Amino acid sequence: MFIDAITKLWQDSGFAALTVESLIMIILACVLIYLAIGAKFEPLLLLPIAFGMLLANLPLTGLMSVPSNSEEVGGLLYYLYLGVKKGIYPSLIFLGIGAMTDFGPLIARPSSMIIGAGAQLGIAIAFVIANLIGFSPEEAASIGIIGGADGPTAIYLTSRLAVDLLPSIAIAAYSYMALIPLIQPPLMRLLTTKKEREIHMEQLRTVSKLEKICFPIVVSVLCILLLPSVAPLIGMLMLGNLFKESGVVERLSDTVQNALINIVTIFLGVTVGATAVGTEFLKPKTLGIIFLGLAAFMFSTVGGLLIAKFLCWITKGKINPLIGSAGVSAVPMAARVSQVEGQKARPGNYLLMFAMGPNVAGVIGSAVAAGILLSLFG
Amino acid sequence: MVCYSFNNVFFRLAVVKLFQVLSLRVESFLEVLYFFIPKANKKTEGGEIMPLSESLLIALFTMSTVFVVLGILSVIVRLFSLLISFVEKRKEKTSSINNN
Repeated sequence: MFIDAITKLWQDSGFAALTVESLIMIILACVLIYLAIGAKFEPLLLLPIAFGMLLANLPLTGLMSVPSNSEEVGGLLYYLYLGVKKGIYPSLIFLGIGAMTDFGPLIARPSSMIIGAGAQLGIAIAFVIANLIGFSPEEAASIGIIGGADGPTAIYLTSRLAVDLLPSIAIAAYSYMALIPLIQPPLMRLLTTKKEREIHMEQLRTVSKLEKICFPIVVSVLCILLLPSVAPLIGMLMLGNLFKESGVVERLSDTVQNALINIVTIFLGVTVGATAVGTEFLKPKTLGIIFLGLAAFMFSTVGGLLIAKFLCWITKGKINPLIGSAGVSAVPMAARVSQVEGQKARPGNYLLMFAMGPNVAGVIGSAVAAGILLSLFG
Repeated sequence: MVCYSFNNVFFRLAVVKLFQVLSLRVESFLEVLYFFIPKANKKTEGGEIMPLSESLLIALFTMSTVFVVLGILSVIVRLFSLLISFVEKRKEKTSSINNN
């Protein structure tokens, strides 16, 4: 009797249902938790993703269970995941990012937009390679968008086009964003001469408050008229920025750039992580995505650098090509890398403000690229 | 010989597409793309792979559209900046005259 009770208890427990895949995923989740806490790799998102992954791979929890009828109650994370599935969280994160972003450097030098466009090169190249190695066009588009170096955009597009790849794409996108200080500098040094890296750029003009208020309105109207599918991303980004720049809704601005973005980041991270179930995640496809994501990221950096070099040549050495790598939209880390490399070449060379222009243009550029891919394959 | 009259269905379609392009909506550009590569609009099922030529064309199309959109945006932002600075200078001038 006692033995039967113990056996039943064991059979009902999660230990009996543990599989090799779920065990590997639990170990992987622990590694990611270590990277987030120990190595501080994008901890704000990596920690919830890793913990979501851990929870989802513990058997019999039913956290992601789908209700079979309207009477039945589904898992907690299933309901929270609807925000990802319906594209709500990435847009809300863009609202917060908009409220935190200063578009002043971009308004002062609008030609930075071209660098932001060039830094989407990785999206196109990864799309072609992914198609070539056997991914469907929808999957290839979702993989390519990793090159935009924009987590919310990557999640938004993937949730619409290839929801099965969401965990691997989200993890790859955020991991590479965290690895920017390692990935970009070698490419920056490879593609620029010492003389170019030493270029001292002229001070940017002061941007008036009215210009900063008009900017989000103009960009929203133009971008959404040209590409209606980007409305959820660009619209929210610019609304957040208008909150900040208008100066009349400080409470709203404060909420979206602190409380709201933090809450949504928790929900987004945990639920994206929870979709990384062993049977789905541990596939050769995931390795392909990780490789292609890196390629996309590198080609985007190269694209931005080449356009900045071209602008340097046109302006006869007035633009330091190092700001080109900031065209990938990882704000503000990519701009900081430009600053660090600029200072290494010439101490006292402050490139941060100049790099912020292409950096924020990259956010718009990757959202536009996502809108095009969504119009094509959505 | 192909007769390029308006009665020609192909020509009529091309004119319609041209007007759609002129309406400056990217969706219209996509229509043109689908017109030349009908397969690009085909929803893939069961992991269907796109030929290299088509994926190259779509990549090229995506990049050029990103450049066009951001290029237009940079021009418009510059124009707005000029307009705003012009208005602000004029306003300052008027207020200084009024003060005097």
